[in-house]
Amino acid sequence: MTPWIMIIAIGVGTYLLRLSFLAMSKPTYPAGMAKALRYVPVTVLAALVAPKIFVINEDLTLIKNPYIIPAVLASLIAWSTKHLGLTIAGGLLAFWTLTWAIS
Amino acid sequence: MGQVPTPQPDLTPFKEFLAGVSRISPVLLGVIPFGVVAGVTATEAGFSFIQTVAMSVIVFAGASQLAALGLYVSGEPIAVIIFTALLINLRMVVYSASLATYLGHLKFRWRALFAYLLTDQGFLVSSQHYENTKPAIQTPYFFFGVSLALWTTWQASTVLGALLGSTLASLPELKFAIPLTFLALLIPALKDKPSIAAALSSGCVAIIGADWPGGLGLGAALIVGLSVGVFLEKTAPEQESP
Repeated sequence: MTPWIMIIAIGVGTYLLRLSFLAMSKPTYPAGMAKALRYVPVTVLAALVAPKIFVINEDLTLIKNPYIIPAVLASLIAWSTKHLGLTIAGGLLAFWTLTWAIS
Repeated sequence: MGQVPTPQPDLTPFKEFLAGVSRISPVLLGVIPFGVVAGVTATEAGFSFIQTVAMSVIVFAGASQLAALGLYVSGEPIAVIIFTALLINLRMVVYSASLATYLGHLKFRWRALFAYLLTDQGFLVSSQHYENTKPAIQTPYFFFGVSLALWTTWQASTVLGALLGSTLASLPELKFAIPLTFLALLIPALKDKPSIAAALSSGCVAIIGADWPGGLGLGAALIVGLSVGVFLEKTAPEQESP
């Protein structure tokens, strides 16, 4: 029974969080909040990416970190081409090549 | 495929839908392994096939699903599991507020459907698109294409994971594919100094808060990053607004 309670409670709760502002028709925000919303994509993306690359086993890891070099390469590809597919493919290729070369 | 879309206000709804599908397709590469892991993890946690699939259909938010399953396996009380999962999904409120500035003019039934389909990737790709196509009328078809492709991929890969079991669960590149996707979206979005500063400060706080419970680190990173962005925009009025 527990799995079902879990699934439904998290599902309904998450839906209400998603619906929150979308439930309002043409919401208007205070000026400061409207400004802040424009920075949401870059802020969220950076917060999602940085720990996944730099934190391994709950420790900030700058040496012997298999993610840093592929991430730098992928950033260069992203910056020069702005191409989503090329960036992901390049980063994965670099990651595979590096892990293969080291092992 | 994957190129930054040029504004084309004369696109038909179906073409706009397809543009969304095509724009998100490279991102799906990273979603598939994540969905498979969600399927495998639920099965390993003792969920039936129906429960595993139902979780992905009803919750449809990978990070919170994995966190909830982790807590379930370690025997935490159900209230803690639910609370943590919802804390992790609190960022959806911010996405909702932001997306409403583009799609708030739609009928309620559309907004209710799009709320269900709201995800990290779908929001991030679509908000970039809507920002680039301003001030043309914002139509929902792009977001719908992006989100339906994500939804279908997520459900299919969960089913695959539930069927495969643990045979391919812990390949290291599975952990790297999703951050790589986000990185590929982040770099082209860093267009001016406030954006770069917002991203850098948010990233640093997220690293510091990486081991804080229930998405608190992400929350702190959001507050700091957004404040830095808004503050720098105010102090540099000559900067063209993004």
